[in-house]
Amino acid sequence: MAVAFKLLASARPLRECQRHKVLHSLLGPLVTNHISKMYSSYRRPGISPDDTPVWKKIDFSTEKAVNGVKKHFKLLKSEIAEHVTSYDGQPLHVHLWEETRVVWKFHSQKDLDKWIASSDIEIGGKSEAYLKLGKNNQSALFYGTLNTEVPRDGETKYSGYCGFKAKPRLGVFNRKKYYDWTNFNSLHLRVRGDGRPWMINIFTDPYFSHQKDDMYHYFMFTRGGPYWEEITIPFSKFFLCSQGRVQDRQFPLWLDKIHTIGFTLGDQAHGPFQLEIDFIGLLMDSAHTEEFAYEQYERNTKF
Amino acid sequence: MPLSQPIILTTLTATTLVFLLSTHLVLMWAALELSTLAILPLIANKSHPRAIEASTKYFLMQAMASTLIIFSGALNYEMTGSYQIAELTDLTSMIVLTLALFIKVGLVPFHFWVPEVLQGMPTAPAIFLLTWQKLGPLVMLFLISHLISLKLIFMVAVLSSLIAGWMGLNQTQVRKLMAFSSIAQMAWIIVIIKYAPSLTILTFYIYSTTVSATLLTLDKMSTTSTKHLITSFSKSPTAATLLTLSLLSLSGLPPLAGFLPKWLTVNQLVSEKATWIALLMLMASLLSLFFYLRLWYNSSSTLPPNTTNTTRLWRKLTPQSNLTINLLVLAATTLLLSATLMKAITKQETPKAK
Repeated sequence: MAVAFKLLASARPLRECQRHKVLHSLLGPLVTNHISKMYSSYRRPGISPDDTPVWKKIDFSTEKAVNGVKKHFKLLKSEIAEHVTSYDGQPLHVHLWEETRVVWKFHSQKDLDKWIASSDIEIGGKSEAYLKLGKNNQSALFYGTLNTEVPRDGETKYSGYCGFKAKPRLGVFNRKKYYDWTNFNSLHLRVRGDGRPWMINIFTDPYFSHQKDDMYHYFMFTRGGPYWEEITIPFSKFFLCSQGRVQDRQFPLWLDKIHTIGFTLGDQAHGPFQLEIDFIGLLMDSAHTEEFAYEQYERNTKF
Repeated sequence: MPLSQPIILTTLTATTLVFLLSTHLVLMWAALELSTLAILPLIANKSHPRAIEASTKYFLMQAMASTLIIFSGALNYEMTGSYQIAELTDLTSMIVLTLALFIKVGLVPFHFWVPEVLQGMPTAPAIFLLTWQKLGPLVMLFLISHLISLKLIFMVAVLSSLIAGWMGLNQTQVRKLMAFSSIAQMAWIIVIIKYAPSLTILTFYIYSTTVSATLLTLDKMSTTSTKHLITSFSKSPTAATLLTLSLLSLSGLPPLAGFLPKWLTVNQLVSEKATWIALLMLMASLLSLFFYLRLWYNSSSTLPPNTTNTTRLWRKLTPQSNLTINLLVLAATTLLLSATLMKAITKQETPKAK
């Protein structure tokens, strides 16, 4: 194909009538190393696109490959054993009777490594965000400074956000592993905030690429002050957004395939922030019978 | 869904009937495609993203299988000059058609779509997916069964039974569990297709009745997770008991109807000197029995430690539809007719002595 293109491009009549440029636009992806992505991806203004071929980015190391194979087959063995002997890693009686479960606690660096912090530095902003273990290794402390100054790149209009989210779980052979929270109906957290409104984001990893930005959100209003507070948010309250925009058609959050959870601060208040989390857990509140808080009326008339 | 529902149901019925009445491959393919299209609104009824995902996955798999069916027809036409299913003699087209039908029905190794599709759709339309939609492909398999390799049938049946049993263990979602149960039941349906096609029909009939009864009961109880089943006996002991009967019938325990096809199938396999296959199928069905019993244990054998804060009163009989009751009675008691059925089947299978 490359040879054909070169022949065509070098032909005199084609050069004269600029047809090869048209051909290049048609055949370009086939004859160059350009990787055209089927989905949009953010590129910071002012930064040139990454044209490195994919094969150059891979680290070809035999030792790494052998270790990887050993690790994954060991994981496969334990995953099969876990699948056969337990419900999502728990015995039957625990699965049947559990009404509370602590999913994330922060007692060691290993617990903290399951989370990742980010801020608007990625888009050229100036906010700072750090995640570390709290006092006596009993909690996680997310702190930093929110800076609402918009980066001067001619494209970005808004700035000023910080957040941290749980890294997605990976199963054997780096397959995605989801959480099954169908036994519960509420999210329960013990936090010590700074009075700012935080947003909790739950990502369910939808199937289609056009839904990749779909996420469920709800707000967490914290008190400032030295006292811990326990916040319970029913999953029925979470609303569907895409790229941060609340969708007209709302659907309840299905709990059988949860990918990650995250916390975001974007209240446009310039200044320092701090959120301390003791644990993040789940609760089955029998008194809460609401299935979904939004859009429960009939939208279409019956005929 | 107002007027659309009768249209969809009529289309489903009519297309399957057209399929059953035709012998021309192109017409059969067209009927299968229309049937696939007709069930998509039932799957995506709630418009939830997961329901749309389920309907898209179902459409893609079925469309791929239908493409292979028409491809096999075209290949056969190229070789033999005929589109009639009875004149399907070309080996390549027969292999392609067999694989396409395995995809349609959801047998191993083409079974991955079944739990994903069932998990995304409501429980009631799942009945159509697991019973009515499998009727056409099974009939086609029945028509070409004399051409299919016996080793292939045995391998697919045993693998389906084993893999569905293992994957169904410790599932927390009831619809996924029913999907794996369906894959395992399909294995029993096709394992005997070459030796006794009438047994295939009987197995399919009893499977359809029992699965419909189970899914209708689960739909009435609004249960989607095994955890939710533990309060079912407090809310409605009748529904929980009837669910138990239908689950035990699915697992093939006597004296319920589900025992009959398994017993006759094993009988036939042993008489055809396929003892090892019969043994493997029986051992694999123990895995399915485990998760049926787990469902029974959750629904009828346990009481929750806490009271339920629902509006239903204790011991109040949940109003059941006549259809559910009729199907459950059939599922539970058809075994009483086994003597008559056996006589009819053996009379059909054994050649007349002269």
